[in-house]
Amino acid sequence: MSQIVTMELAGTALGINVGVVQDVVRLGRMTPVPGAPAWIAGVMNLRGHIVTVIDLRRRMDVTQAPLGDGTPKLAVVVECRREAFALMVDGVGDVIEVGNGDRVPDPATLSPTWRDVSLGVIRREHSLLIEVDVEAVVFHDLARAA
Amino acid sequence: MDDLLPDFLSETQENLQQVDDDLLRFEQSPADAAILDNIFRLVHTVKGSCGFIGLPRLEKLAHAAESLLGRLRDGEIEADAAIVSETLAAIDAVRGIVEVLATTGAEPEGDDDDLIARLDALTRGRTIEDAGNRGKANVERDPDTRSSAPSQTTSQATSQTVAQESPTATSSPTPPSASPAAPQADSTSAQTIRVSVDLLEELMVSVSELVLTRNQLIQDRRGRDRQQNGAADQDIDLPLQRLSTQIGRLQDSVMRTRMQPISGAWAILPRMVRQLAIDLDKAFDLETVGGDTELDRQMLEQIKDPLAHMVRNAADHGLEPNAVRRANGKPSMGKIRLVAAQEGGHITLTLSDDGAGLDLAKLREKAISGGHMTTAQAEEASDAQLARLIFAPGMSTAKEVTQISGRGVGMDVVRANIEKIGGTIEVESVAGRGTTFRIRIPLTLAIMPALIVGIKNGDATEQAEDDDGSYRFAVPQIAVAELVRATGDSEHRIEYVGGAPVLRLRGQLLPLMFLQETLGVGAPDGDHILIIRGAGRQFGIVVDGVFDTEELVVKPLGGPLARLNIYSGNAILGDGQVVMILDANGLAEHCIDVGDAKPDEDSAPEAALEDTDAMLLFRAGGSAQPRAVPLALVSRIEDIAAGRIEPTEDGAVVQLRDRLVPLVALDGDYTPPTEGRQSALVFAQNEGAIALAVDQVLDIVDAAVKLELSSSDPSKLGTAVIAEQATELLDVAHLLSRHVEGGRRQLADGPTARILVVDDSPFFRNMLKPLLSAAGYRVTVVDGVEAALALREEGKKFDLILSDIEMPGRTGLDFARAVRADGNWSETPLIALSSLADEEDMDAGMAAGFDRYVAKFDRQRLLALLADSVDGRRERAA
Repeated sequence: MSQIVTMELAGTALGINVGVVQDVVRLGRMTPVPGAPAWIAGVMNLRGHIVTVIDLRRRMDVTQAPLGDGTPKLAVVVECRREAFALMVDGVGDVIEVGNGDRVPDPATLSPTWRDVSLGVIRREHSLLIEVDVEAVVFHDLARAA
Repeated sequence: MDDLLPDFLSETQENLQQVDDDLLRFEQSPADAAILDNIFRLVHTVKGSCGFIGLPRLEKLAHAAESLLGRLRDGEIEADAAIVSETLAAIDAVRGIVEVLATTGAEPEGDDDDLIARLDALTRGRTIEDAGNRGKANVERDPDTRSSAPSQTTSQATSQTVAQESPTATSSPTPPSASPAAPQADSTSAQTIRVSVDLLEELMVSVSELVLTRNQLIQDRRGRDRQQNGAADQDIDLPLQRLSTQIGRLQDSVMRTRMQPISGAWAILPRMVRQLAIDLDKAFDLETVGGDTELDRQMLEQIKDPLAHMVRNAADHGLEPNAVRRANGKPSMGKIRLVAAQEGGHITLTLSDDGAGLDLAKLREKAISGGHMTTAQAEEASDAQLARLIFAPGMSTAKEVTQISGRGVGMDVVRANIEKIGGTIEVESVAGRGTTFRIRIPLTLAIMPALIVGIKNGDATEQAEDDDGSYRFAVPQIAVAELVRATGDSEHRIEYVGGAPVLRLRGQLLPLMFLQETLGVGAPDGDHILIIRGAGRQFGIVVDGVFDTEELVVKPLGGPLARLNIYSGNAILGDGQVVMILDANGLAEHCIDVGDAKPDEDSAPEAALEDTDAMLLFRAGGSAQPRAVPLALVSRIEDIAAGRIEPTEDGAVVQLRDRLVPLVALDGDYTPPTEGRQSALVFAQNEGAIALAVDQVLDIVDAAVKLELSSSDPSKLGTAVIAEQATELLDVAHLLSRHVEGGRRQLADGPTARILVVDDSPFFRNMLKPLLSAAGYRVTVVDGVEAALALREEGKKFDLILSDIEMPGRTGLDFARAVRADGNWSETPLIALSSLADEEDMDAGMAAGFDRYVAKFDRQRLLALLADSVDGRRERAA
């Protein structure tokens, strides 16, 4: 059994293990970082700590999907390698309990971009949910280079 | 015992360092009973503690050393070099055992019987062989260090505690080491307490946060003032002011608790120098000045190894052997000088030796073989540029790898270590006089004064910019040498050479980068220029605005950002926004290298030694920047009525003296004027000629042409400062070859003739190579007789050799005699190339072995001669 925070990005349901999620925040002013990969939206001050903000739409290459009307700019703050990162998402849902029986292998139709960051797909009553490997998201190029 | 061991270790490590200091001072003044007393007591303490904790091996060794020192102290024997050496050896052995103890918790296996026997022998008054050979190094120390050392914060790298002064002493405004009443070692315990380094670190973090909060409060207050037009509540101002002052003091005090005299970083040097003098068999002095300069202990640790490495380098490679020094008329004793001083928020360390200076020729060679420079670049490179190469990887110039240095770990590692702690390093070398390294490091890494600069956001689609549509960045103040404003009416302006922005500043040509462009966020803009020192060279960063300075609490970059070498960290500003801190060293890599950067006064005597050439200055293509061409290459200047210019399919032509000559523009296509007149420079080659349309002929000046910046544009040779202006030099040969038929095709069907050009002047090498290449020859250029003869040794063959006459060292005449004397070039046609071309010179040239003689700028005759000589030779061969 594990607990997963559910969220939505461009019509795709995602989940992140509750253990790595620190907070859900509304995005304030960000400082852009020219020269950084495009999927890094910038850095922001989160209660005295500097957090790198990741534009998950760009990171997952789903920028074409329409943004919802008046969608609040939400970010899920996660911890990875003892640092904090804010992942921009469209919406955050409930925390759900997931049993081992609910997990299914990645479907063949899953795009390589998603496959890279997927820890597995979780079957829910009406939908499928991709459990996201935060480290693979954040240390994208580094992992590839290694 | 387990409880006692950590205390014993930290105490012993501290004591050991003090013994080192004391022993070296003792060697110079053996009569000083106080010093001997210190040494004795420290060794005695070690021995006593050993017995108590149960460390038999250490105890035995310490006992032997103590016995020797005891007899010495009681005046029963006299100190000599052997005694000092063996005592040092004993201390080293103790240190070795203590180090093992610190890591494993147990004494290492083995015994020290040999050493103990030697110590015992000395104690009994017998001497050992070879004892007299030791101790050639003579170590001078700054008197300030002498009085201050023991009572101050001396601690070992591995020690987890740091001795500190009591709070009463800390609150005094003068740094503790400057206190005139600093007592000798024995009073250490009274005025200091031990505090764990972790606690100090914690304190520093809290203070950093406090500074940050204060900054936010002040910023907020300013904001309110603005909103309420200055009518804000006054009653909060005074307490806020006091809070701010107190936090400032607190920050200062906490910083000072972490401060240690820099002599801690070079405490190992006297020992090392002593050993070096023995190993290298060189007698030399090490002089240290400013040992009481304080800096953060974190920095102290970081600077230790680079300093030791550099001193080792100076002793091994910098200083010549004593005999060589004597032969060169220098004092046989070499001197290495290490000076520390505080300058504002940073420390400068100057390490100089009075040795031979850097081997620039060797560096040039290595630069080429190592791929750091092309042959042409290396030939053009200034001394300063070559000297800087020692900071590049794999550039050790040591002829042989010695045990002391030159093991592949070079100055590149030193540079990397210094840059890692936000410092800079520069080198200056004078042949035969010595080498000087200048290091600048910040006082601390935790809090950094920085300049906040801004650039406008050129990319309107960017969502995340600041409210006013601009970006802000922080630049560490240590990296900024000065600020220059370049507006239309000010003294300075941004000029362009070959499209690259440059700034002329006190005779230097500095490359510029526009921050927007470098960061990829907009088009070049701005007129504020930060002059940056980075990687041992200067350049300018152009920004739109410079705001204020702020003390930043530096935070490391988050994971994926850490790889970006243009940033060194980030920080939260007073207004709560995050600011990215630019890394000057990283940015330097994005900036092209502009050749020599010498102040005017230095270049003046140098210029006097060089040939001057008559240069024609003009403007063309609507550009304000002057261009230049050697006057000797210009056939004539024409002033053409617009009506005489005839447009054709292949561009405009004009009839000049019964010939149709293409009229061309310097950049892009030429559009003839519809009325008025057109000035043009006419260049002729063989049967062809071109007329170059110019806006205005400015002047003819005699100038020593020194190319500062080579150009990627083939129609330009590069840039030089002529008549105090950055001026582009035209490559006439390229222009001709582009517009005139002939030339290139002349020899195209036969095998290409190979020509060797020997000339020490980079300008002529640059001019002749394209000229001859354009005429269809395969051209090799070298900068002197030695290089040319080296090619002969390699077995290279040429169809013809062109050589300058006046060259430093071996002249063209020497060269001709050498070529004619023997070797496989004895039959090769030799043409002398000289600006001195009267009869007498010609006779001397012919006598030396030259076949023909041609004046330097007489291009027509040169090409004719070449064609004649090469073709004539072919015909004879056929």
